[in-house]
Amino acid sequence: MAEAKPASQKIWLISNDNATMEVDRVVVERSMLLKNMLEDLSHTDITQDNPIPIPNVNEAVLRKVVEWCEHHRNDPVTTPDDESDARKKTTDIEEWDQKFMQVDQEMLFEIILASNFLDIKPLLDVGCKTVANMIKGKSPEEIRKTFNITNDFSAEEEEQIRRENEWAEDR
Amino acid sequence: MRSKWSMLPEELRLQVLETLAHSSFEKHGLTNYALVCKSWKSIFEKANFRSLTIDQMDFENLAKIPKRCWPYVKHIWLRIELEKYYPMLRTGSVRPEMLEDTASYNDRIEATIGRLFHILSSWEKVVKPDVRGITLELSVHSPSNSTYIPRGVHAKGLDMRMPFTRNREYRSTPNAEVAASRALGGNVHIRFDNQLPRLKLVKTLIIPRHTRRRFTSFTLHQILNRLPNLEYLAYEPWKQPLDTLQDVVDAGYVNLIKGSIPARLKQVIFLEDRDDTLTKVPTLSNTVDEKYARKPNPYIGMALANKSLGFENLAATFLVEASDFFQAYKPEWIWRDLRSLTLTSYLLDPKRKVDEINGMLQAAGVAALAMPMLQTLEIWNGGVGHAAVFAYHAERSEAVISWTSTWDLVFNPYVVDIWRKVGYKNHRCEKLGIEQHLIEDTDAIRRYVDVIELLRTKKHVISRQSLDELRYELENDCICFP
Repeated sequence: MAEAKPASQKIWLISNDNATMEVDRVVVERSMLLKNMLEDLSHTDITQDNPIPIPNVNEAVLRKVVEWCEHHRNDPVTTPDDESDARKKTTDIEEWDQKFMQVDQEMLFEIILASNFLDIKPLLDVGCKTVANMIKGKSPEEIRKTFNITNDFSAEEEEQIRRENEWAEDR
Repeated sequence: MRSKWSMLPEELRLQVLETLAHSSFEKHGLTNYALVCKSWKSIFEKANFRSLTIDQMDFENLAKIPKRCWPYVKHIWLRIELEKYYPMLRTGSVRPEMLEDTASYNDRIEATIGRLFHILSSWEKVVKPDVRGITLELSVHSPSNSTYIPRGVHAKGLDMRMPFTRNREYRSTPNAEVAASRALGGNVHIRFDNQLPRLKLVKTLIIPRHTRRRFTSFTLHQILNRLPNLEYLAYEPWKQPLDTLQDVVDAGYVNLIKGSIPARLKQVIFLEDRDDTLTKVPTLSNTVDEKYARKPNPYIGMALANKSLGFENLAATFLVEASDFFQAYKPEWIWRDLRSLTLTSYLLDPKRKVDEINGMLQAAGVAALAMPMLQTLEIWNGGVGHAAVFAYHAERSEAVISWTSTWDLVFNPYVVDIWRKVGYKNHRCEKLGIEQHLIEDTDAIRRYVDVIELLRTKKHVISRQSLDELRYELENDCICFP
C-alpha cells in the first residue's frame, strides 16, 4: 500500500559541492526523476543525514532550480500533448520566469543542463525559450559571436544559401 | 574562451534550435539562423521550407528550390489569385461576373494547378513519400473581394496569431452585393486538357471554406484521380446559392463519392458551409440559418455510408443527413477501422417529434454495432440560438451516451438498449452511462461553429485553419478570404 504523503513532508538534497538543502516534497516532485525515486523509497529513507545526492549540479544552480520549483509548486501537470503544442507555438515566457532567467549565460546553460538531468520539462522549456529569444532577430555574425560558434561556410556558400532561403522565408 | 554553447550536449542544442525554428509564426529570421554554421543550416532550412504559401507568380522560384530542400516541404498552400475587378467608370458600380469572366478565371486556375503538379512530379525522383506526405491546400480568390465586401480580411498566413490583413478602405456598400456574388463567383469547373501528372507525394488535400468559389465534383474528380496516395481529404464547399441548381450539385456529390473518393482514405471531412454572411451587411446577427437549412439529398448519405467502410475518421457537416447514412446500412457491412464518426442531422430540432429523433438514434446504434473500433460517434445540429449534440463515447471499458442541447430530449428504452449493446460488443463495457447537459444560455450559440466547439471530435469535423477562421470571424465580426 502506498504511504501517505503529508504536504509538509521534507526532503533533503545535496549538491555536488556538498551543500545540503531542505525542500518540501511537493516542490521536489516537480522533478520527475526525483518524484519517481521518492515513490520507490520509504519517507524515512531520506533524512538530513542521508540526503539525495544531485551529482551533476552545484549549490548555486540547485538553489536556482529549487527556487523555480518552489514558485511553480502548484502548477498543473501538463500532458505530453499540451507540452508539444505549447512548445511548438511560442517563445512567450511568463514575467516571473523571464526575471528568473535574467542570469549570465553560463548559469542559464547550467539551469538547462540541471533541468534536463532532473527531468523538469517546464523549466527546460523555459530555458530553451530563453536561449531561443536571445537568438531571435540577430544576424548570423551576432549569433556566432554570442555563442562562440565558428563560421564553417565559404563566402560563396553563404551567398547561395542566403539566396535559396530568402524566397522561402517570405512564403 | 570556452564556448558556452558547447556546454550543452547535442540533444539540448537541438531542442533550443527546434524551439526557435518552430516558434516563428512568421518565418522571419530563419535565413539568418540557417547561415550561422553548417550544423544549424539543415534545422532552419527544414523549418523554412516546411510550409510554403505560394501563388502563380512563385512558380519560377518554386522550381529553383534546391534538391536538398525538397524533402523538407510538407505543406503547400496554393493561393490562386484571380484578376482584380473595378467599378465601371460610367456607373461607379461593379459589374457582375459574366460567363466569359468565369471561363477566363477557370483557365487561370487550370494552368496554375497544372503547373504546380508538374513541378511537384519532378521532385518524385528524389523525394520518397514519408508517413505524412505533403499537404496540398488549394484556394482561389480575387484581391477585390475584400475591397468591396465590408469586413473582408485575408487569412494569409498559416497561423492565426499572425495579424490578418484587414482592409480598411473598402468602398461603399452598394457594390457589396455584386462583389459578394463575384466572390462566390462561377464554379471552378475545369476539364484539365493536359492531364495532370500523378503525385504520390501528396497525402492530404484541403479545399477550405475560405475559398468561396465551388470546386465542382467534376474538377475534384480529376484532381483526386491523380493523387494515388491520398489519405486525408477536407473538402469544405459553400452551399450552391441557386436552389434551382441544387439537384445538379447533389448529383455531382453522389458521383464524386461513388466514383472519385478513394476507399483507402483514412480521414475525410466534408463540410458544406451555409451561413452566407457575405451579403448580410453589417452584422453577423444576420447570419442565415433556418432559411438556408435544407434536407440533404438522401443519395449523398447513402453513397457516403457505403464508401466509408474503410475510413478511420469521417465527418460530414450539413452535406449529409445522418438518418440517410444509417438507413443505408446493410447487415453484411462492417466499418473495420472507423474510430470516429460525426454527422449532422436536421432531425435534431425541438420542433421534430421525439419518436423521430429516437428512431434515428436507434438506427445509428444498429450501424454502430458494425463499427468494432468506434470510440466516438456524434450527431449534431445547430445554428443561431440552438444546439443539439448526441454523443456516444467509449474508452477503457466505459461507454457513455450523452445529450447536450438547448432543449431536453428523453431517450427511449430502445435507444438506451442498442447503445448498451454497442458498448458491450465493441468495448466489453458492462454499463452504459447516460448524461444530459442543458445549455441554458442560448445566446452563446451564435453560429454553427459554437456547436462544433462542443464536439469531442471537433478536430475531425473541420480543417484546423477553417476552425480558427470561423472563431476569428465570430470574435472580430469579419469574413475571411484566403
